[in-house]
Amino acid sequence: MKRRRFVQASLAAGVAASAVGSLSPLGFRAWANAPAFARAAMNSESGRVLVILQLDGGNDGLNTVVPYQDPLYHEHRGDLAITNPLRIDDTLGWHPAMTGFERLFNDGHIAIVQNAGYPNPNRSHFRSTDIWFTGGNNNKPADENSVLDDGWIGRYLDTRYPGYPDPAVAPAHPLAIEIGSTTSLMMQGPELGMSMAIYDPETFYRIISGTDISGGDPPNTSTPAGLELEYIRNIALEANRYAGPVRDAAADVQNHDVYPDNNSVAERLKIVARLIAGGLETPIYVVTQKGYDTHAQQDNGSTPRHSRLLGEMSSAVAAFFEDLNAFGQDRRVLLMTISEFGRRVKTNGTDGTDHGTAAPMFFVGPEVNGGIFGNNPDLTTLDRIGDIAHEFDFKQSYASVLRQWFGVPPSTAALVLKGEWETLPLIQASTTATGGTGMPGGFALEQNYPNPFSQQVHGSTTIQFSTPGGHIRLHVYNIQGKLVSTLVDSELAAGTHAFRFSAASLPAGTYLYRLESSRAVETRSMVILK
Amino acid sequence: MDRRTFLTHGRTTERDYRTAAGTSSFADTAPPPAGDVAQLHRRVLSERMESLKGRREPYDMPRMVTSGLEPWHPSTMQPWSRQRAGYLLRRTLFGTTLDEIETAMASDPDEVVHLLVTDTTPPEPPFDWQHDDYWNNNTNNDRDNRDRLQELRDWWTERMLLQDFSIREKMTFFWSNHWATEASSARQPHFNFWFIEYFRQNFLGNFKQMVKDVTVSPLMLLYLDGAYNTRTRPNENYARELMELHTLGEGNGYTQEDIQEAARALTGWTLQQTGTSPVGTRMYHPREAVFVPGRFDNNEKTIMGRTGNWGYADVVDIIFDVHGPEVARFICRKLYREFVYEIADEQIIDGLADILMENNWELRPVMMTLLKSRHFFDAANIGAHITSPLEFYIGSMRALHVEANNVRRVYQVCASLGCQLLEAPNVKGWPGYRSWISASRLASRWSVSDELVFGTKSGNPRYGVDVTAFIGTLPNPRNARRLVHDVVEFYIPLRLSNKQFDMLLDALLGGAPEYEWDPTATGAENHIKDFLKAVLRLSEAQLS
Repeated sequence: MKRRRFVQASLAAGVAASAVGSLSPLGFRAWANAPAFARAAMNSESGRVLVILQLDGGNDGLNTVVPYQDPLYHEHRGDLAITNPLRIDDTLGWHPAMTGFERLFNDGHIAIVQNAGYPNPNRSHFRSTDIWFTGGNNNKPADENSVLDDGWIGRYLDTRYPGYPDPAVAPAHPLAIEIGSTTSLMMQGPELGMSMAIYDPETFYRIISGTDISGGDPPNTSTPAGLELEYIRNIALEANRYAGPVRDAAADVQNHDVYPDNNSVAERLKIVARLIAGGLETPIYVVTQKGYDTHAQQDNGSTPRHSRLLGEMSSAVAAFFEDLNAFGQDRRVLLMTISEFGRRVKTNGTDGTDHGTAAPMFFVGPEVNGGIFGNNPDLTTLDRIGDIAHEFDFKQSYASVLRQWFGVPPSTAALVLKGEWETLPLIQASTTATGGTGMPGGFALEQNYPNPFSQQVHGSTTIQFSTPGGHIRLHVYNIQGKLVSTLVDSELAAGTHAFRFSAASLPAGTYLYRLESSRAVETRSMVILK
Repeated sequence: MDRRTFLTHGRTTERDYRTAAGTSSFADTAPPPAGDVAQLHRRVLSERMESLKGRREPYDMPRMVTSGLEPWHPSTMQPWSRQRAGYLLRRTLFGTTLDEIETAMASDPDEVVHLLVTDTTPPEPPFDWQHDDYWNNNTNNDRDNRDRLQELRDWWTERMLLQDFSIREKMTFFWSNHWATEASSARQPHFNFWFIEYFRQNFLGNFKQMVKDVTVSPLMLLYLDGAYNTRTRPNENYARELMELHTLGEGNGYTQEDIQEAARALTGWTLQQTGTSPVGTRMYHPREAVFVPGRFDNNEKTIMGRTGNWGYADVVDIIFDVHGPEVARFICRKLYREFVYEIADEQIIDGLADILMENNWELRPVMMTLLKSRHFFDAANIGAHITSPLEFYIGSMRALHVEANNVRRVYQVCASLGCQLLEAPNVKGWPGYRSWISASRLASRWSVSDELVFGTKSGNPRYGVDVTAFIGTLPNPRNARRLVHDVVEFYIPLRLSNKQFDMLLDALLGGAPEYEWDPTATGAENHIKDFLKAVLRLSEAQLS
């Protein structure tokens, strides 16, 4: 009983300690001087990255994860029904264009959340996209969480970087990057946008340098003109601040030659991979693929549209993780797909499908709990329009990502998502994950346990890792990047090893531990309590 | 809450535009309110979002802009000035020129507005593939059709660059974005041509008639699947967007059942085959669709509570009858947001909607009232509009007298800034406003405005500002301070700080003392270019 309370209290403390804004100005300066890897590990809550892939237009979930054994599916879909899916199990299969996803799924790197949606579904692209972006709802009558004016990621980043964009606390790297030319409502924080839109890092830097953005009087924000001027000035300021770090991260990093040609999703994910591998500490990226509004001629003709879209998406994502794996970075990346709705169960007679409701979401990466969450779509009890009822609220997926991927405490997740949502175990629990199983090369560093830990209460904490064998170093650093302890510096046999670490005389605070071999490096953080 | 409710000062004071020593002086407004700016911003954003969603709120709080639709008349305190004339012209044209401003100044604002909205005959295009008989003896392959589509885009770009003193091109673009389409919907580009030409010829027409005409226009029938919507195979794509995007707004007075019933009423209309081209392709009439009774759902439908054997015109009539005030407010709000400010003043919208309905959906009286109003000319609205790529780039070219010798490249640049003609991002069109500016888009704007000043490095022919010619249009280019003042006054809608003014002056002088400034001296041209580059990179230069 006593321990349980302790763990909960210290969990919250640990998260607070890893949020930049909670550090004193002195702490922040120390932070800025810390080595890049240390900042990467800390700043990104153990360096984890979330890539959101938006399938814009409403992806036809039924023809993506196909219930090919369901006679009702064939009855409703007629000629549009997929008869030769790539087998997932005895009842489900991937659209035949999705060989990349098939491979990732068979490796245990995809979690499918079936029938994700929300009550009283809205079939407008724009309203439903807003609901997904904001984490709102479509309740009737509307409540205070129906129409939100900021995005769920924006609110999350606002809790993680309080005070942004105050130069005194703004991190050295962008909070979120959208690959392209526009930013979305998903990234709108309570007070201002949290993301920047970038396409080509080099060109961006070249143009930005040489602009004098200083010298203007503060805009009069009591007028429309002043408000808009302030908006543009902020964008100019942000561009000036971040052009250099983004360019530096992209410099000297070459993508591995694994991407398909003529694939707009691949082109964008390539940039993301470069920035991640180049050490940019940005925790959130957004990539959008357009064209899923398949009202007519959905998947026939000489260049079947839905096949092309899913094929591009699936091969791009597979190549992205292959590239990240070759960089040794894939374990800290999670990719998640969103789409405003699925399509109507019954084909509309123009070889296409109208706007529908619930559809599967995908979570991709070596750290996911690969498999299928939820039941097959229930085609026997459709709503009065003829659409699938949702099984999971999409906000449950968001909550799972916040809690399990970013380690956000329940209270903060509830704040961000305007309520408590039951989570799904989408991510392998880091403390129970068996190192190496999902990773070629068998190199993996686990989260220490217990964490946070107190020498008085626990005596020590255990750090466990897997290695394919060879020379291994395991060092502990303080937040300033100063080496405080070396736990291993020797040849080890292949397999899983565990080492105890005692805080000894170290002051309370956040520390980093870093595992190095000739082939890979991985860093995690831990919190020491008094 | 209404958008201006956070305001601490109530009415914005409007002062004269007289020049203060050393600065260019513009609409001078009250100082920023004390207090938490971030909180203000938050409230404004929240109000912005509500406004975007078309919510209506009570007006029990002081407002940011208090003037109404009553006509604005110049006075000693608020004269008909170059700044106000420039503002009116930048909002109704794509940028403006010093000549146009002088023309406006020679008249009074009422006459200028009248001239801007007057119907005139648009010029003929330089190609002839828009005509039916062209296709009887010419090629019809995809490659040639792509070239023709490009000719259309070039010509449209040229219409904006060479526009006459009329709101026509601004309205043409507005309607093409209200009824957004994508070029690839049609195999031959004459569908696109006539669709756009309809707006050019009806740029301030009758809104209700426009909705009917667009509903059965061949391009729209292709783009939103109306041509495939039949009795046995209904497709609700157009029916939904007709209500959500073209007349009412999302969820504003209709149900999913209304959409499905309206989709049935819209059946029967499809493309009219006119013949077969020499290569065996079926050709369809690009301007007129055809009603095929066998495709029509010849049964009763119930739309918004009204039951009958309705057809397409009935659907429009029912929407306008049952929800007239909502439709009027919807389209007036959209016009307001295009011509005044993103966040609509709902009192003004109500006034405009009344005028629209009183005039049986004729749009011209609405636009005349708005553009002549005190509300439009309120100092707080001047500079509040974030320019679109077309307004920014084509406007800069016009302002700086850059020759329109390579419209293809101008089209490409606008596309690179986020506005590719005939390729709206989706059925809702370009969202506009703040979405025009992001870090990457602002960087792109800086890049292309630099290029305008220093000359394009690629393309044939190349183009750029003729600095000597441009400076020659200014009243007193030999006085450095005056030169900076005049360019800023002409180009920038907002007042600059003394420090910004000095920065621009430094860019012009390049370290030389002021009294040595000579625009004809060797090397002066490069200094003027540095200066213009800095002007166009100002955040203020993105506004109008």
